[in-house]
Amino acid sequence: MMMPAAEETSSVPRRGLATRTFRQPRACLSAGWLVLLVLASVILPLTGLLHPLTQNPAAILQPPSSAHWLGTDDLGRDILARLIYGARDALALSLEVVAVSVIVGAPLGLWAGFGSRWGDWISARFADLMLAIPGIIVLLAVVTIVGNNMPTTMAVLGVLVSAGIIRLVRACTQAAVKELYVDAARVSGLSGRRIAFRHVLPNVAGPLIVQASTIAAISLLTLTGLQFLGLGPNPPTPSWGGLVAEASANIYRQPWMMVPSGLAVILTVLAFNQLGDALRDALAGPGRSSLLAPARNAVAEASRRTAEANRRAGSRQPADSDAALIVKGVSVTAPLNGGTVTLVDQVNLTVAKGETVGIVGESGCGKSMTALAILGLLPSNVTFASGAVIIGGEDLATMTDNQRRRTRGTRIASIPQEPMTALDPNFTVGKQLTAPARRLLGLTRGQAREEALRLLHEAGIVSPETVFRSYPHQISGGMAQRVCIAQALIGKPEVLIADEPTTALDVTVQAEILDLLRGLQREMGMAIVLVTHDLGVVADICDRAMVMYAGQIVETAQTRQLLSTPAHPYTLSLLDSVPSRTNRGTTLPTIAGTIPRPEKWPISCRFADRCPLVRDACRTQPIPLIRTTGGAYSRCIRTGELRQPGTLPAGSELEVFEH
Amino acid sequence: MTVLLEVKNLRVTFGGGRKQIQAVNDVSFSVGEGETAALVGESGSGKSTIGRSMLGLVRPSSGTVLYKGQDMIEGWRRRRHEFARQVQAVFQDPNSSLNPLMTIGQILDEPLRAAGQMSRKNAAARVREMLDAVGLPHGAQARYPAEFSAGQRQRVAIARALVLSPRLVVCDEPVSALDLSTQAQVINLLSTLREQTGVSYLFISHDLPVVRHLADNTVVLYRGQVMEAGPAHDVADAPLHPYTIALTAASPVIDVDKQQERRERRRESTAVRADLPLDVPGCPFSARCPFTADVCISTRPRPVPKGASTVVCHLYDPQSGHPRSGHGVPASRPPAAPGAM
Repeated sequence: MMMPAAEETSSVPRRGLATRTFRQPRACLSAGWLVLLVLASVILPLTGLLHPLTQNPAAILQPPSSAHWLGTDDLGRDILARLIYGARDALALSLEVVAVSVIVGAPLGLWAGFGSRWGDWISARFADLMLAIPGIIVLLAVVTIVGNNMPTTMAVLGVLVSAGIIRLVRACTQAAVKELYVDAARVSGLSGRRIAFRHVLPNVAGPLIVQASTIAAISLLTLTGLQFLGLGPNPPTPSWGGLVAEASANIYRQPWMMVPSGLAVILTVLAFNQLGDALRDALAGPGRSSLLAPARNAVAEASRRTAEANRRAGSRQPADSDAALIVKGVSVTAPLNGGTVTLVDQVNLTVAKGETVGIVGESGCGKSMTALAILGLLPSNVTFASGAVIIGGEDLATMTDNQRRRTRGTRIASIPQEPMTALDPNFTVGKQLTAPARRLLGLTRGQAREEALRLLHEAGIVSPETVFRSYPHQISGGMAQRVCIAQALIGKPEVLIADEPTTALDVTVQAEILDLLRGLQREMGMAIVLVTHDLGVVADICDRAMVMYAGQIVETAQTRQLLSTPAHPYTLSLLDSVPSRTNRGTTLPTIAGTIPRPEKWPISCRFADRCPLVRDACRTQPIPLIRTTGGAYSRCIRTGELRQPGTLPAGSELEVFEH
Repeated sequence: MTVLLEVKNLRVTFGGGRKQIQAVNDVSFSVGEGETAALVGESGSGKSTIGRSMLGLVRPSSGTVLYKGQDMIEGWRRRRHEFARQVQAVFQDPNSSLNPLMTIGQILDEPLRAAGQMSRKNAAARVREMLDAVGLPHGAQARYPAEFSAGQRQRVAIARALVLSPRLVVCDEPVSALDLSTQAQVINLLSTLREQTGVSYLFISHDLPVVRHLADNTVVLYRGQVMEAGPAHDVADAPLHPYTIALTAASPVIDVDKQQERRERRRESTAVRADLPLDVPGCPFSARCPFTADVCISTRPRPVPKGASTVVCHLYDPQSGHPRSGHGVPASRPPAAPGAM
């Protein structure tokens, strides 16, 4: 096979929904209670041990005893027996409601969600109608017509509550149909029905199960209510609602009677709801866990505070007149399976006034985390473990949140990757510029407006007045990025962090934005840290660049030198894999494998497994950044042996070092 | 070379009434057997919409699409499973183009099952064959997309596209969501598979260097219209249309000095004419073109043959009435440096 061997796969075991559900104790308890009820109501009649209609005039209204575990009622009937016999109806009728609502609602919802205009209209009107009808009145009317035929009444209830199912299934279907894999299935020649069953329904199933559990709980309560009103089976047939009614009739003579029936209803409703909640959490999957683990975050927060306190001891840094930003030994960690992993490892970086430094790397190398660490905007479960971020002689890392907030906009500002999502769709561009202008610069309303218009003009917008009045959705992506740049410049920051500022834009717009940044920098003299994966962008705008791999800097050099004579095999391989002067049919040099996951990063060279130059020495010790020619640094012990990029005939196997 | 796909005067319209948008406006091109044709353009150029209409996912408002002489638009509607065996697709985002709830084995098996006519045993053998072809281990069959990296998922998507041995695969930005090193692997995979199977690609991309590497012919689109079409190397190395020149000049080179040159050239090759409306009856590029004359705003240019290419620009049409008609882009500006991108 001509392909480089398969990349290393991550081996995250994917547990089934059932496993994830029943790892939660409440799910086991709830399911246990329901199973117990079902078993008891099936087995008890078979044994003939207790009968719900057997009267014992000698023992009426008794509290629990060894003969009658839950006591007896006013005719001396065993309450336990009556509860268990009543459970069958309670459960069966609740499930009937669920079944009817799903059978009615799911197909209608699917029909509506699949984009059929008629289907959508009919389903929506049906759902509206069901929601507009006062349910309890309909049920009472049905009971007067069909008598005490509970299955029919409950079926009507099922139809009434199906409106919720319709809306849920419709929404889920509409979301699923937009997925590319549904397009792919269409192109694969699958019929509409097959697509519905294989690709859409599985997505609907989860939320549907959750909704069903809620419906089960609601219908049990409704059923009990109806039976309590005497609309259930005729006495002496036992029913849960009937038991509650009997208990309330005897509430002064034997209060205990209320406990078994009341508890049975409450526990079962709780069980339905808890089971639904457990399923919902299981469906939400591991992505949710970080939000649901405040305890762990608290630990992270505490360790951050400790680290801060330790640093504060020797944190007074001499102000370097030339350096606008000094990043010293910054490490970033995140919790994983009880331990921690290091995402960014001891990053050092100095940016002079008016200088642009690029942070380059592929996804997962830690470049964005580094940028966020500098900005002090790390995600909540990620910890700034150590290091200093010094601007104007002050260490941002040791500041309190309040102090740090004051540095934002004036000392340090950022340009987002996706300008469209960075602007608030609810406010005009003008509002989003004048508000920070008034806050940061203390301007009046009129002055702020002047300033905003000036900045928009400065950001290369030809008609600032129009853009000032526009909402974000009314302007293009390139225009939005110009607005974001204008926003970042309000407080005349000393340092500007731009995280992939042009990745979401077209190349012609990208070129304009880079020109704009260059011009603004010349004018205002700020330092720019530019995070990018695009070596062309580095060539265009960066004075220096540092290449990151697996959380570490592997090379830093002047841009010209980095691109013409790279000093690390990873940089060289990256440069080689760009299609440039190659022809159709030739093979591009590639790097075998992928970046390993953070928990698998070795202490020795992290690129070793993919490096053609690897020696035993690379795998035994941590490799420091080694100074090479021209003030560059490389984390490679064979840095002197590298060839120049693009010097191999295309199509030959990738050999990194010189022959 | 026999023609596999022929697109004539394709128009796609979205929305209705006053908000109607011409996403694709009178586009014609063809793809030969075993050939790779590329549609290049920026967002809003209509390139993906054209690709989606080739797959029966978007319904054109007019124009003809012939696949081996048969009407493909009707074909997708009436005989979807038949066309599925001839025309397939690789989409941009391998995260959403694979159903997360299905195993890789199920994903690859599904088209075979939909097509029918293959025993379970043969289908399993075919799935294993495809995994070999895209360089994934057989063990991948039992695993879910989430367990793989983006590059590996795109390999699965490519395997799914080729499992029915189609003759044409529409690749909609198949590498633009991937990292540089993975991108090269997937590009290599696409060209190897092309050599092994003789499949044709309709390759949709915004990335000229990638297109130059993979394609035989390139069609450059801007705002739903063809600007220039011709051999991929000619279009990339010696662009004719002012828009193609602007596009090439904007795509950065990984070389500090060359990039500086290119940057200066780009400044000459683009203009922003805020006074001109974007929607004009003439050339859609007129609001950004440094050579715009009255005729560019009023009249839509005709396609003019120029060397092996066709260029849709008044500058190259001797009868256009443009002050520089028939002369092309002024020679005083240096042509785009060959291949330097």
